[in-house]
Amino acid sequence: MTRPSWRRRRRDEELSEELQGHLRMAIRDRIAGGESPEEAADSARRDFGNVDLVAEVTRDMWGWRWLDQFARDVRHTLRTMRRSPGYTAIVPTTIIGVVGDVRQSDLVTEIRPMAYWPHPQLPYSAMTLAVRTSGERLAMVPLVEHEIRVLDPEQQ
Amino acid sequence: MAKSDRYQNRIELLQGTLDFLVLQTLQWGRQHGYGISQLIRINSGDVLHVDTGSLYPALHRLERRGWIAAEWRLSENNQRVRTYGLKAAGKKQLVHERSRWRQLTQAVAGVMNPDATESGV
Repeated sequence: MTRPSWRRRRRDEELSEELQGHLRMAIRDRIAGGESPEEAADSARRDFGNVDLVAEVTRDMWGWRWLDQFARDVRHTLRTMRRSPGYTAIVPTTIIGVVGDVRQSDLVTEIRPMAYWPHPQLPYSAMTLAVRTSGERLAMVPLVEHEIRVLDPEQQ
Repeated sequence: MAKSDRYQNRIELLQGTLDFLVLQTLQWGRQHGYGISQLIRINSGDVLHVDTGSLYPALHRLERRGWIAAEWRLSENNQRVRTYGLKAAGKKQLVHERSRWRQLTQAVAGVMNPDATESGV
């Protein structure tokens, strides 16, 4: 089960079709509201945010984690207090590096290439931390929370 | 950061609240993601703006939970759009969420205005 199945590919395509549809409708409404096509496309894109990121966080819901209370708890812990909504930021101008195979979202999702950029250029409202443990999972939560706070005291 | 000014009046939604608002919005009928975000915005008097980065994960999560069902339909412009509708389990969940929400708002109102708590709602 290392190759993405056709089913998975199809789902990916449908998700991107779904998100593009959202953008299209937003642009159309803005044009109907009196904006020029260029303005409408710009503002709708700005409002929507980064399509790839939205797809990424949406795809996260397809795996096993939607069920996993522990993962959700950790995710809530990592939700930052947003000073400004990050999704509306523009495409990053500096790429720190590209890594060929990363386990980005959890331990079971297929590895894939990933680009990294300075966080302030494209702040992200939530991050996921996957932890594998053999003991009582909920007992890990305070430990993980503690470690996060050591790294970033501003975390909730 | 002039750009952040226009977001100052927006209210961040907790995940549970967004789920509730989505279910509530779908009770009036099948809707696509864009329609749901517009309805939440309009019905909240332009106060609640749902981030697409929160909305689409919520829709796909609610779908996984079996509360809503997705279906591709043709829009009025003959374009394929993914629409969502409430399932029976979702309607049940909505009833539950509504009573939870009522409890919460009553509790908050009580804290803000302690003298009035005895008078009921």
